[in-house]
Amino acid sequence: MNLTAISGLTREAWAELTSEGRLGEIGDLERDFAAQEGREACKVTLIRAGERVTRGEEPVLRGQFDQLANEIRVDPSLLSGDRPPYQAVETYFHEARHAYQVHAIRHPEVHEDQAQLEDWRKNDAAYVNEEDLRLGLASYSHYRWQPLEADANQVARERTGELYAGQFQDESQYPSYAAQKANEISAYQKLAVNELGTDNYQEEARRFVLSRFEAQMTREQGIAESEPSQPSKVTMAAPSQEPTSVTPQGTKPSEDESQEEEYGYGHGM
Amino acid sequence: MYEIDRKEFRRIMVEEQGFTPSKVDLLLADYPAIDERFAAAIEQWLESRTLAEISVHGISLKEIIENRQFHFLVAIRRLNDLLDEQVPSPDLNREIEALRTPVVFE
Repeated sequence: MNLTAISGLTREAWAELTSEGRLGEIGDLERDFAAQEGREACKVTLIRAGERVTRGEEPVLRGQFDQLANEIRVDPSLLSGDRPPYQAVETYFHEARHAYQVHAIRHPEVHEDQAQLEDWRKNDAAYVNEEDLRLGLASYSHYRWQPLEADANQVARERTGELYAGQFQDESQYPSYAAQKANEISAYQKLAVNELGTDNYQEEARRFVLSRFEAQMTREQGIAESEPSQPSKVTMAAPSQEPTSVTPQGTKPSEDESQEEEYGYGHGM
Repeated sequence: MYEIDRKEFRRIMVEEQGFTPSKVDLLLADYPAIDERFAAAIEQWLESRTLAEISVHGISLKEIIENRQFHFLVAIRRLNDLLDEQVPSPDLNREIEALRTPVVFE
């Protein structure tokens, strides 16, 4: 990672900026970072008021990546007041990784690990989203450790450490943030062992989404075979080539079954 | 035991709350009969979409929904599971700890 548009991301510079200025710094970072990854830069905006999910003052939904709009959204609380930049930047890195994953799915030649890419492609089509969790159709650990999320979390953690502990040598507040993140990860690892019943929870979450993918493909094949003379209603015949959509919270979905095959991802929705 | 009004819950969840119909159907298809002690809380929610102050083994309905972002019906089912006396104590404690773990999405 060789970033140049980062002068406003140090703890000291960040403290002097307004929320708008902080958002602008993350937008600059995205333009720099996307150029390095050879993908189109995402617009970086705030999660809209009606779509925010919070627990007290803390955001439950920290960020979103909307592939259709090519937009990264960050919860406004991460950019406000006395908060240091770490969580906002880590959330950005997480969402930017989702942007890269989609880019790699569409341009397979850019990603070296083709087995991982195949997992991403299937996960993209069978993504475990927030609605699945709210309705108890999958566990949080299936969400947290599915291939796309596990990768985005890991990469975001590494890049945030590289920037603040490495490049900025931030020894005043970053170590405390890093310790807090280690605790958060540890709690989710413990939860995963509990919910998925195995120490190999990441592989279990992977198997879960792959079996969802297979079931989805079987279902779509069944629909196609039952209507041989009609054009298929299913819009995901080639899921790796089609961007999946974000399902905005509070939006009434269609009763049309074909609409339900679309899964958003990278946004906890 | 208390049987929920599946038709009414489906209507609310699909038409009012915007959940995907086929996913709501999956939840409702195997939704169990619930302990009678939750009947009043369910009726209250159907009436006003408000949460009754109920708890099992020290964990409340509100706490489960806030921590885990479950739909009301899922939270009730998880509370109902905590009443099962055949669940060994270590498993019960693990379940309570899981329900107390706050989740985040990115």
